[in-house]
Amino acid sequence: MSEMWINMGPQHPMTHGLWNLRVKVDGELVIDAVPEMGYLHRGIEKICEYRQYNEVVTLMDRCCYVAGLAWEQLYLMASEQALGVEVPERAEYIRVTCQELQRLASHLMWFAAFVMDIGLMAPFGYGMRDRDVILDLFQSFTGARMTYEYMRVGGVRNDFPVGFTDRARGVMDWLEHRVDDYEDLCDRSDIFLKRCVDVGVLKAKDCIRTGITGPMLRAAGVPRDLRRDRPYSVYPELDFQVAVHDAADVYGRYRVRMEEMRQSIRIVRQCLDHLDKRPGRVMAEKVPRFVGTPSPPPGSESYIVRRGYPKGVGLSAMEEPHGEAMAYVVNEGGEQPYRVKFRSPVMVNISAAREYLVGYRVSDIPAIMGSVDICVGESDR
Amino acid sequence: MSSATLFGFSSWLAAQMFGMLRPIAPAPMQPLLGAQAQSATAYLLVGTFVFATGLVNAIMLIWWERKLLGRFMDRRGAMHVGYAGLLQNFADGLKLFRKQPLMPREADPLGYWLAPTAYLATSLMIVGFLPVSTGWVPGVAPLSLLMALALFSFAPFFIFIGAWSSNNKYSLIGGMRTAAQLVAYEVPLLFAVVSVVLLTGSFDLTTIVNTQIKEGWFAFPLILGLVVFFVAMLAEVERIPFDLPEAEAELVEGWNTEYGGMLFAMTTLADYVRGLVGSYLVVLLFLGGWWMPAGQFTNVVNGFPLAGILWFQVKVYLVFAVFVWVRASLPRVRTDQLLQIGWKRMVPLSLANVLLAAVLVVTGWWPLPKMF
Amino acid sequence: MSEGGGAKATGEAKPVGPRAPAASSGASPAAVPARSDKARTVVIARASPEVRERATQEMMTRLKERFLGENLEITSRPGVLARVRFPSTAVLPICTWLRDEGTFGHCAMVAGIDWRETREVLYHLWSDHFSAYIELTTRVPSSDPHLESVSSVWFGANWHEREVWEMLGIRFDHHPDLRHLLLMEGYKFNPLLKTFELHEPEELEVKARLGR
Repeated sequence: MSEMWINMGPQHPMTHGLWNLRVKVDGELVIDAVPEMGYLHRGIEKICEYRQYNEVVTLMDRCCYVAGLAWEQLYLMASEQALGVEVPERAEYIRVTCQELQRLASHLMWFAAFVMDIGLMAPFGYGMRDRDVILDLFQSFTGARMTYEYMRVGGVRNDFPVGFTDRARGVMDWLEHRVDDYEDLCDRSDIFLKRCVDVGVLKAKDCIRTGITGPMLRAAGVPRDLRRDRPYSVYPELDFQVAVHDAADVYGRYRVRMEEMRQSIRIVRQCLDHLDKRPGRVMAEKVPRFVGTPSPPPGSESYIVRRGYPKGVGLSAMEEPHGEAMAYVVNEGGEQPYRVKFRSPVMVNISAAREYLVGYRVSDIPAIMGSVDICVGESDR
Repeated sequence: MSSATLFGFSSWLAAQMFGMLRPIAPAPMQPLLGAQAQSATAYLLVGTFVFATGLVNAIMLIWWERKLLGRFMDRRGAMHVGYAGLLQNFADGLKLFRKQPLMPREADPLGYWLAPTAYLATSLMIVGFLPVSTGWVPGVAPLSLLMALALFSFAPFFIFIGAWSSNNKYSLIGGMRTAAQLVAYEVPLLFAVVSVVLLTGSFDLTTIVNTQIKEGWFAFPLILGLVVFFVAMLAEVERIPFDLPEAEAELVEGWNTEYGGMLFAMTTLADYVRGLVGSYLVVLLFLGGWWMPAGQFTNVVNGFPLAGILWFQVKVYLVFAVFVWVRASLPRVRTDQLLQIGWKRMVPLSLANVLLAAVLVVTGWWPLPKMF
Repeated sequence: MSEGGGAKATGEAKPVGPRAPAASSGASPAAVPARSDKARTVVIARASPEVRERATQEMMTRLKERFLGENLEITSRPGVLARVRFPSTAVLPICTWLRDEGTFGHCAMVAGIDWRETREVLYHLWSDHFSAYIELTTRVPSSDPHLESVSSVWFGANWHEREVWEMLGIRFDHHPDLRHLLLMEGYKFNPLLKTFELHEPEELEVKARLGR
């Protein structure tokens, strides 16, 4: 068969969202790959400039639909730095709990999608089921299962409900065994290993050159985890380890994510213990009140700069479930941020698709792209 | 045994119908109710039975698979339409039947329309050569096994025609994969069958089952053959781990990507008819056919064919449950791995199995001494 | 993926090179890892703040010396190692220097901000050595916004620059593939410019009702 281009996407089971992977194949062999994004672009960065600081939180849930709370915290860390707001300790612990639960939910979703991509049926149901249990936890304190709108400038909306910590501990105990089960389930399957080992190899050098972050980078043997290397929130006070694997292939990524789930369970337990011991405020005492009619947007001539608000710039970087996410918030003294910029780890991870797809087979594409863990909402924003 | 066969039953039914019709039919109609018409009706009834058996069983297999797969994934499967969702697939079929068949503009109409029809037709024809109980075989043929396998190997052509004329790259790749896979696994499949034929000396499936009734299941001397046949059958009916032609993760729906509505229903149905036929053949060749386990002591089946049908169905559904079990627990293999397994593992294993059967026959070690 | 992979609990990560790609048909059974080969966890001792501060100062001094003619403005800012403002013409040598000499091997983000008369381009670079970001900033005039592309320095900057180009209209010279990334092909506007105004749905509704 001669060479031909195939459009995998925008509507394709492999893409896990809306994007287009154009691959050039020679028979079954991939000889070129061009990813194309933008099918889910909603202009969130622009809309942010027209929303008050707290209103932007709503957009963050839509930004990444599998790790909404992580993105809420990402944005709020930057905007709190830009506004000069201190967050109480308890709120920080609650945020870290949320973030690690979100990492668990996201990784379970990834697990379900990934095994489905390589054709394993049953664990798909298990991953989704376990994620549902975590979503139940979210629902108990945010009232929502996907679009939480839970965090606010200066803290979180409300404290955990009574009895939440015990319930969450129960879930963590249960989940710990489940993660072991899943790893056994996959590692004892020879076909699974055949599909994963030595597939989609991207060496550490290439990972750094292409800007790939997150589990993909750690699976290549680079122990970079912003939770440890650029500590934010209360992570310096927590005891956890960074999962690293040497394989640099699909199998290594799978292993790193499984280990990260265990570490997340550890972190959640520590946070829950701390929350039990130390009651307190969950909202900062002094928060700029953004009330009243919204002022005209910054672009217009009558843009009102409220006097008394501090100007500032905030930069936050966080180890999101998919990788290194960054937010850059410019506060020019208005009710709305002057500019909000996000770095999406998924976008950069996809941008290097050519590097890790060429030379493999068409059947390998779902396995490799599954191991990248794609959330298009976040990459297109 | 003449009345206790499918044809006998159909003839009886036709006779009853004509007997009822003749006194009440008006005079001009009377010539149409002669003996020839009666026997033609009997044949038509046989065909209807085959059609109904194949289709209803295929649809029930879909239900069976959905329920089992649901349980494997810790959910319930189809629940709401009918008792335990029994009618769900009939409802799905009705929905698909109502849909407008859409053809891609650039597709080749002849191949596009022909492929699913021929695929389903040849798949259903196989059912006509498989006995389901003593005498319950529509087409009595001394070479019924060969006929079934010949019809079975028609599928790659129709799949390839459909894939090519769909004018879709996914379909094309799926069709190519189908051709490679089905041809590769045809070889071990036929070698596994050869071992059974060596032991029985007949291509007649009824004879094969009767031999097993006398001498015990072929699964015991030819366990290797059973394994090879089962794995090859998994590949032939395109099920996970060998469902590469329609690997939905990379090829969307594989060779039938462009088929929608009733055409899609026909291809899916044909897939399940082939799954049914595969289970039929496993049971007929290796698991004693319609003979109940340890049935040497009783003679229920010979006297009462419906009991044989019952046992046969139970075995077939259990074999299909193993298909589903495999699907739930194994990932899909890659194209190159698939062909490696086929040519490097399955073919030598099946040859070893043929050798084993030949040794058994030549040395006279078979039939095995009776244990029960 | 050696057997010893699991035993190494601490120390520097040593990535294993890839075996032959799957084009050479299938993984050999020997490549299948042992089941005990769990993902290992790594603990790395961090340098003390004083040591890091000293190293940072040293690096900044060297940077200043290397680019004496370029008028670098180095300021400190919370959250990043330093903020370096440089003239837009010097982007390529500075970035190359920072990558090769300054250990900033990872280009995390390229951002653009519209300040009406000028447009700012921000580079956030990460160094595993310093374990911190450095912020580079430069301004280009809005009348002719263009800048040398750094995607030859870091592959990862490619898509960021495409995004900045389509959102803010800043051209990146010698960019290998300056196409639209998120917006549709042939889209003529730059949405993140302040001259591009959004309209709230209510506002549009009112306008429609008033017939404007």
